[in-house]
Amino acid sequence: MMRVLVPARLRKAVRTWFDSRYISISDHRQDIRDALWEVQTLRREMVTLQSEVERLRQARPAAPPPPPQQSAADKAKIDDARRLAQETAKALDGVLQNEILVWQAIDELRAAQAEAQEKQTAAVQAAVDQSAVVQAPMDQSTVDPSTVGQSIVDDSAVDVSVVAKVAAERSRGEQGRAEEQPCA
Amino acid sequence: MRVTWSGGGSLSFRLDPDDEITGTASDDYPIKLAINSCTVGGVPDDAHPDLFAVAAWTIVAPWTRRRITFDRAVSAELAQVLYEGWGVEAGPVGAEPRRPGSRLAISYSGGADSVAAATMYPDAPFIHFRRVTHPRVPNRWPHYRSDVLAKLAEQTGRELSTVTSDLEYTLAEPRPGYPEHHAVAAGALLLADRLDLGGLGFGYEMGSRWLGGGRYLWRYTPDNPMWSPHGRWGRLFAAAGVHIVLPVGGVSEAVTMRLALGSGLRPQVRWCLRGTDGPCRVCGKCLYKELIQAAVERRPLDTPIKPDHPAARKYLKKPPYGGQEMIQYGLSRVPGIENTLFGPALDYFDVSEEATSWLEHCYPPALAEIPEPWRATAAAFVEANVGLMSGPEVRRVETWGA
Repeated sequence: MMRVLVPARLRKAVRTWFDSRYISISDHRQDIRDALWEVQTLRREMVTLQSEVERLRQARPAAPPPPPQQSAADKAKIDDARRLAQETAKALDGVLQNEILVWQAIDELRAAQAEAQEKQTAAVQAAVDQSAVVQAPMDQSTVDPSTVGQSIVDDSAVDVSVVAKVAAERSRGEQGRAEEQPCA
Repeated sequence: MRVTWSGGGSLSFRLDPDDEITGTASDDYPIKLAINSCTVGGVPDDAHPDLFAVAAWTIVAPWTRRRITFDRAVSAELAQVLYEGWGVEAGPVGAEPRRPGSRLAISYSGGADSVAAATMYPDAPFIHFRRVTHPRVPNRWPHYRSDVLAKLAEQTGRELSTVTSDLEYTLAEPRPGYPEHHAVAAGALLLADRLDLGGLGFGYEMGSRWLGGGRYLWRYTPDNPMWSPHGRWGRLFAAAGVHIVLPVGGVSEAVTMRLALGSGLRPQVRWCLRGTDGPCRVCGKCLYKELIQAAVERRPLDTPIKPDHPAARKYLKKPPYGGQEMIQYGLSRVPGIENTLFGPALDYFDVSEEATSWLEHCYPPALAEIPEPWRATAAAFVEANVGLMSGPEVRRVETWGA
């Protein structure tokens, strides 16, 4: 290490220059005191706030006192109303579901009926066709009259005409009935 | 099954002798029919018959056994897909198939997932499903604040169509809800012609699409019957010219949460169905989402729910849980989780961050599934904001539940 003699004036000037760039010790002390004071103030505030929170927490359960105002009769009424509401809603669920099932059954019956009707109509048509076949040759007098007579008194032909009449009435009834909508 | 649409979007359906009022949704969950009528409001009356048919099918599928008769002729292609997917004969047949439109709409619920999907497509219109009461079914669920959610959707400033419907009341059990998950799209389908839609974006994320999320759990589901494009629903929607699009199908709920809360729609994000001025914070969904949000924001859990609360009870039991991958993610990332109601669940999982880091990236096949017109946008967005999974991370997805 090399030591160099520096004139006192220069040394002082340099020191002063350095010192001027930094806060003095007394200023530092003041800053620290201020900070400490700030911390203590905050601590006091925290304590106040904490006690306030505690107070509010204590106060809260005390706030809703009215419940005991309800008389036993009121309570019974309210409970009953609630029970009734719940039971009604549950029962309604069943009603709505049954409604779906009833419509399902109705539709099934209708479909079966329509199918039977279709079969009968087909049978009528077949019978009509058959008699037409039988009658047409009669007009032309090319068929043995005895066969024609048999055909006219044929059981199945009579049956079919009755059935056709019933079916026609039924279908009129169907048309007359409005197409119900389950939710109308 | 015979379905009839009348004016104003009223649907009524009658059961054939083979049909029943009990059935299962596509996720195999057993359900029961309440009533055979509903309305889908806010939609035109002149949509393509295939759109009417698919919209009706989202509501009547669980109850239909062998045959469905529509009130207007559908295309042979649609009838074919119904037969192949469900073994159901559909008729009458006689319409030309519908050509896909050019636009993508977002089925927007307002939750973090659909907001994230919406963020990917800033110009896509929103279609919001709003539940309304059924005139014949008592509303025992008034805590469901669909009005609040509809208002939030309006505040997004995006092009919005709100569909009102009581179709959820056709379900008696377990409670009102979609007979099939796709019923949320009934209104969107009927709007497809008017909005020129070729695709409908849903907020279903990786858990729902690939990890068997929702009501069925704990297995890798590449052939998910509900959301895969080659599944029966995917093909049905495609046959009607409205492709199912899952913009966030490859990312977890941690990513959708991060994207949603970082988007311009943040003030409108709401996953809670009950709260009015904000989330209620005390329902099961709020608890689940709070765990995810706390994990994403790396902060302690903030919930008023105590361990004895019904919403918390399931986490005191053994897994599996719904959305299990996200529970594990939350457990591994929320500071101080051991002192919360989730503490007991810690024993069942590897809660190191490495074990769950795969949930922060995108599963690449999910992007490949997005139909071509909208794929590049999604891929660019994922590249810029999420990043793709590495090989080992992909294997985490594909061995999930194994």
